[in-house]
Amino acid sequence: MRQVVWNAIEVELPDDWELLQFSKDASYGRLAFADRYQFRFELDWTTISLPPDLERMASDYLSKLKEDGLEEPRKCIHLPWRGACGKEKDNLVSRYTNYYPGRGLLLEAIFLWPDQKKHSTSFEAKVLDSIAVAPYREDGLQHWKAYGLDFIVKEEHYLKQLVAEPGNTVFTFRSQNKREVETFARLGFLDSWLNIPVQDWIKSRIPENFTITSTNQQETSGHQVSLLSAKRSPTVLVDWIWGTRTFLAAAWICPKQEKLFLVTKLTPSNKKNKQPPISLTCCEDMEISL
Amino acid sequence: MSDTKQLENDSPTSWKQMLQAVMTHNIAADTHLNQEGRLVITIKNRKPGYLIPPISWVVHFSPTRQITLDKIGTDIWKWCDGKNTVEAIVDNFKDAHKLTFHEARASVVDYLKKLIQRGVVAVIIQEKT
Repeated sequence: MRQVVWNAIEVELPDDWELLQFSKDASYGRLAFADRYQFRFELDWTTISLPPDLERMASDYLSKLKEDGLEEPRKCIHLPWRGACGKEKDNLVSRYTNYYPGRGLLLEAIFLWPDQKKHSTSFEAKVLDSIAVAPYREDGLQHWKAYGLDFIVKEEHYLKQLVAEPGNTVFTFRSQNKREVETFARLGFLDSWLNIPVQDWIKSRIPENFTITSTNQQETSGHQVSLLSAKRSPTVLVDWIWGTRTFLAAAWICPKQEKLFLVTKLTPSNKKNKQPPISLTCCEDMEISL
Repeated sequence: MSDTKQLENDSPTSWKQMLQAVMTHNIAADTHLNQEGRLVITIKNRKPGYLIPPISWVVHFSPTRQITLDKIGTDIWKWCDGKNTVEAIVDNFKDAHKLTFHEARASVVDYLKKLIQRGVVAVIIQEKT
């Protein structure tokens, strides 16, 4: 089983179930996972201010599904999860809901069982038991784990962009005032495009009008890590108002995964040492913090 | 509204039938390696019916066209041997580039579409059982 952590929602799924669809919105969205041949699991979330009556919701939902033509409908319960099961087209579908008051999140977990796969309530129970919603951390950070990336980012920053292409994953988070940006990347097909050393390639990630203030190399658990910091030059008016910003970056090739990992952080210079560090992990014992 | 994105544009209910298709070379194509070690495929062009005199006196017709594949394309082309299914090719590609199955599937299917459009390979669809 492999863990996915997204928007503070944690779930463990079989190793060969991959995340194929996602939503960036923290208040409303879904994740969809597939095995080799078809979608098998969906996790939907929505934020609501008051705890719902889950039992009544499940009953109402079952009635609605009956009206919609769900075959062999019945209640499904794996406390605290409640829901409805039935047959939709070629799939047996189980839908469960649960509410997490800490973040006001209403979750719906949907299992799709194709005809040839035997419906397993014990498997559903195992997955449902693995679902958790992480509480707010005192350090203001949040854990994410998906698409081969495992990282810690500031909770108040939102997921601005996610590029999820074959061999190329880049998460970009941004503060509401757009002054702080963090990126976490995992890049593959290195033979095809990486024809310069990583310490030179990392310089290509520096934002426009920033100049390098320091570079460094360090070895961490058998990984050669290139570090870089840069500062905006010359300072522009907005920097006088909001403070100058520093760009920090670290990149390395993980020998186990044969992928290039990159973490960057654009942060106000005056807050650089006061903020909790963000971090990126590629494999066991290898974590880089900025 | 949720901002939903996905690894690929098309998301059918099941892609099993597509994965069970068998890929084969265009037997009418000639191949050779160029000086850079890349595979060059020469494919015969069908002469369009309208290319008769006097049009053919002014419109040039090339009896063949050449396609040069990169290393990734060469590997995929080699695996299209008339025996391998798309799923087997995806598995080979996944192992060669340390990708997940669906990362490899998205890459391979995209590449195969281009090779099919250019007449380099053909697809044998297995009947649904």
